[in-house]
Amino acid sequence: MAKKANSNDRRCRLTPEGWVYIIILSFIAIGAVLRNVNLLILATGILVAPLIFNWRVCVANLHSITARRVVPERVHALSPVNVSWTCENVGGRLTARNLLLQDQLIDRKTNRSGSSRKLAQKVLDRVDTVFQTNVDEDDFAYVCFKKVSTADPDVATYQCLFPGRGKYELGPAELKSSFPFGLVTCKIPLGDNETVYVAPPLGNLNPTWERRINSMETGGQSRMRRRGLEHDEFFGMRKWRSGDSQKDIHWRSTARRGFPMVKQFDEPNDRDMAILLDLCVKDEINRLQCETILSFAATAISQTSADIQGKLAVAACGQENQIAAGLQSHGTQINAMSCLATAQPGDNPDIDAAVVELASQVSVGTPLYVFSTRQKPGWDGESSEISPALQSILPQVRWVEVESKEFKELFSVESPKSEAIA
Amino acid sequence: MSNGRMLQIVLVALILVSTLMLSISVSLYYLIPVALVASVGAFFLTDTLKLISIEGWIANIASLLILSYALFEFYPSDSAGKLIAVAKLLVFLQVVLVFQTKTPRLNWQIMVLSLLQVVITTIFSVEFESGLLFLLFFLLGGVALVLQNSFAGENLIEKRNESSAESSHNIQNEKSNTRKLAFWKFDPRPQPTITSLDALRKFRMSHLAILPGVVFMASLFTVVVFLTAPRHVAPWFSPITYKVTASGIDQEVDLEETGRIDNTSRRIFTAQFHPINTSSSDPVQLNELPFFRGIALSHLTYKEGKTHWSAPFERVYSSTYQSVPSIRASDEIRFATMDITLEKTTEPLLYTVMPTGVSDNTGGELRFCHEISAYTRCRENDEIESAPFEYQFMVALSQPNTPAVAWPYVANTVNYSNRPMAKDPAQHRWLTKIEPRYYPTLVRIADQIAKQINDSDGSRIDLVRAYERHFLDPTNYDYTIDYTDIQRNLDIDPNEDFVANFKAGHCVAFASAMTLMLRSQGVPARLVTGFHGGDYSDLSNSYIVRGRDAHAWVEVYLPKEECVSAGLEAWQYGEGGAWLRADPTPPQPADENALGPDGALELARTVWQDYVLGMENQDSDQDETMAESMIKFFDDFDMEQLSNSLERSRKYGLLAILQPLFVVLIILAGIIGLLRVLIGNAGYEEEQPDTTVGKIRRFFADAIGLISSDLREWVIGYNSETAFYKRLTDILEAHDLVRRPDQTHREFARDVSSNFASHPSSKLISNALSDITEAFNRVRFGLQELDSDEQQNLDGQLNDLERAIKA
Repeated sequence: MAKKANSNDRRCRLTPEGWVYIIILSFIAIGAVLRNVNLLILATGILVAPLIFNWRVCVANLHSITARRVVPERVHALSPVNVSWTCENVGGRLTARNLLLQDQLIDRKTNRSGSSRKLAQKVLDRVDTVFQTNVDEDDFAYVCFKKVSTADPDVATYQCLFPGRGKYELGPAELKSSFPFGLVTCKIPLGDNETVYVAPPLGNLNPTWERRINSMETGGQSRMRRRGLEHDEFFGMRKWRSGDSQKDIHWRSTARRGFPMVKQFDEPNDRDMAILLDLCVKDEINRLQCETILSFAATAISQTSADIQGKLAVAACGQENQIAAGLQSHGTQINAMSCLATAQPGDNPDIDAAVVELASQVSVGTPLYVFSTRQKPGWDGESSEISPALQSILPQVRWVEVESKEFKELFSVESPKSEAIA
Repeated sequence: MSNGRMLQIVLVALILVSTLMLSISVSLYYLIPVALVASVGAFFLTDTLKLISIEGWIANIASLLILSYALFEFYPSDSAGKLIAVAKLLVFLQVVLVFQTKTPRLNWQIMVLSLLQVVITTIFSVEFESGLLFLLFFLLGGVALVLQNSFAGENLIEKRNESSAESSHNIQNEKSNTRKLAFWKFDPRPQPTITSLDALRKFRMSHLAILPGVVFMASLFTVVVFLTAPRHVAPWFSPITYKVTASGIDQEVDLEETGRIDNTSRRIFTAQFHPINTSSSDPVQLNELPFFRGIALSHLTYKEGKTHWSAPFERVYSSTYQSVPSIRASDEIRFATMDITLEKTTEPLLYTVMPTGVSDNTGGELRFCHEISAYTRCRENDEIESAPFEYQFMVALSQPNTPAVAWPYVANTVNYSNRPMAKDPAQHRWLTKIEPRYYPTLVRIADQIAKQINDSDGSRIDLVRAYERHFLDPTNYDYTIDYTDIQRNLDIDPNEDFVANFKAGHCVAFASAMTLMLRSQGVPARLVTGFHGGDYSDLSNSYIVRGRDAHAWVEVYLPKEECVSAGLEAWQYGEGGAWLRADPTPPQPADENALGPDGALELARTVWQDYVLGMENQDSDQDETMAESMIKFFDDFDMEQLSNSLERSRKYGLLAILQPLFVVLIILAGIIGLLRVLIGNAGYEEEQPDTTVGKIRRFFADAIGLISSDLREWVIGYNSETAFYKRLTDILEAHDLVRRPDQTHREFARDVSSNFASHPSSKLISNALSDITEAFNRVRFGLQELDSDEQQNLDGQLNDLERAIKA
């Protein structure tokens, strides 16, 4: 988002300090006139000037300001995110100083609503307008641009933590200036809101999952293709994961990059990966299990999809079926994460349709991993309720219950040390 | 250095400057160490080491206690005392504030208290040095505000960081994994966590680069406001019209001086002389140095065999003075009104400066400073704290060809007022009282001189001049104020010692000795103290009278017949005769009167006193209220005066006429600027045309729009919201269709439509005219705005209309 300050949107107000200043100024001016105290008359003149000056400088400060917000495409809950603002002063005559940017963070689900609330909010907004009382409102983030010259843009960043997955909005943002004296403030709105899909938090993926993915090509047999091992050659490198052998660490790359890198002997392949999340929720425990599954899916997509050269398909089956599929790419991952961000558990998910739809997105024979909060439904071959399409897919379905030992071997919620995703 | 630390230092300086000014002004010097210790202590203990921080509730209780104490002092006090109580309250409240953890709001409160301290300072007096502090305060205040502005942003972010970091920390530190995923159970709102403050906290000198611009603008506004603000002339502590019932003081002189008399250059007062009965009322410089007559010490007593001159609480009623205007008979300058401005002083002679007459413009009442009167009666030894005071009285001027300077008859006690001395044996006895046995040599010399005068049939005035010459003869006596090396005989009277032995002294010694000589010959005489001279300032056309100008001289009583034979003019004496002034003191060495090395500083002080503190609005009359000033302004305004100004401007240049116009323009711009911020509405929506010319045009249009929206449109042209109508009128004007002044816009539209009734596109024209006129009326009179669709529609209609009419 980038928007130049529109002069019609610019609003100048007196700050609370400005009002106090005006009152004192009036007192001095009246006293000076009525009592003929020359020094008070001098003081009146001296005090009027900063007020006018402050107003004009504020206006000039925001005259040619452009601001742009940059949010990382992939955002996970509980991982600090750096939201950066770039402020430019193109065509301005003066270096803008001391600009305060106020960005609002709104959770779509908890956005205040209701007529009575609106009325109260209106009153509060009015009070805020006059007295600016809600400056420490929790929903706001602030960054400050100390100096935005006409030649160089300035970048300011704030970290943001999203406590849970979901759809959030950043904005509306506002750029304020009360430089130099803080008596008058001038503000401009900065464009439209920005929607951020926050994926579930990342957990810890055990090597079991990797082995399982690698074995998918041969129908579940565990056979790693380690071409080049005998020749002491490797295909590439990746970050170290828990369970990797120390022998595989590539020390030179580790020293260069600052974090452990291991040699990757697996040859890239074009196999597909299909994950279906059965978000069936009956009680609070199920809901937590759903979040666990979602967290697993996010972690799996994040960590192992790079090994997949074929298609990536992720389906969430809850209140409604959502699916994100496509050739493995950054865009597909983003879509998948968005799907995971907004998936809503349901009490009776349509798992059959979801399985069929997911299977249609990947190559024939690709194992369909279904992670569920419940037991595998009775998909007997003779059941007349099962559609032929599903019947044909059932052999590829790998059903994993979240409470099972199998799942616990695959994934734990405990995440590695959080790092800001820039 | 961080911005916050810099702000704290500036605030400490601000507090110290304001308290210093206040302390000097109200003479409460203990406030200086209070403020110094508090501000510096708080800087180290609260801001730097963070050892002490007063909680808010403790601060509130302390503030209430201080307020109670201030009220206790406030109510029983006079006007000055009330303000002093407020001044102390401000300082102590500030002390409470500085020991709290600094927030932007707290810093602001500290600054406001400092500003109020300065306001109180200005209500009292601000001398030149304090005036420099006054300017320094505003400079520091500007710096503090700039830093505070940055600090407020930092503080906002810091507080935000703290609160959100805490909640984020809580979320991330959940022990249970399930708890971690159950985000819906706790506050699900996103938490802005950290905004880096390292770069923000750094103090940037470049932010202060804005200050020269502010200083320039402040200077401009100050000059404009100073020159144009309507001013009522009565200051806070004004020399109010006060009917004097009693005034006086126990005043004595020291005849046994030892050591060196301190000859201070401190200002006591300034005086300006305005001649009466002349066409010009400009202040004048007198031919001779003026005498500022003080109190007459006519009471002679002996303590331990030594002379004491005193004026034992003389009660002076207004009736004791002869009415000067009533005896003014000459067209020449005999009297002048004298405006006196008293500085702060502990000089006791100050009390003796009293009015000698009733001037024309006081309505028959003595103008007398109430505060001085109060001090005189109640606090004789106290310092006059609240200065400057101004008052006016009449003074007799000496004439070059007048053989003697005499004061009109003024009795100095209520019992003997207005009674001729010759017919009052009691007063005669009092004014001739002397014990000759204490002054054998003095009496002997007096007798010798008197014998010579008697032998030559000289008059009383000849005797007076003979005694004068005796003391003025440099072979007889020396003038000195340094008694350090003079060997005094403490066993004899100091007057006798002076005449017989050391023969050197200052004015009091000479005047006292001559008074005694006159009394020894039976001539009523008295010792008068006051001031003589002063430095005449060409800048202010006034005499600056200092401590070193204190003087003593002799007044000799002349009966009426002596006044006639002495050649005094009729106005100089009354039925009771007159008092002749005689000054036996030799001239002081010239170098002692020089300004000395601090001349530049004195000049600066004079400019400050006369042009900053003392300057009054030229148009304001002494007794006018502001409302009366306004009425007077409109009454006095006439076209003839304006045409004369124009003529003068043609003769002497445009400056004379442009200057007031420029001032008016600046004021207008300032008022409009304020109105745009304050009244236009607090959330003024700025609309700026793109070009500079457009901006200027818009600015003046807005200004004149306050008077009339028609004028606004006239100034801004039709390039605004109603441009489309301007285009319509242009199109129609090309076809000689012009709206008559008596037509409304709707009537004009109907008229034009009827003109095109037979036109093939008459319907289109009629519709377009109707729509455009209606839109214009909505915008022009309904103050509505057109949205872009409507604007496009109107443009399309105008195009169609133009094509149709052309066709």
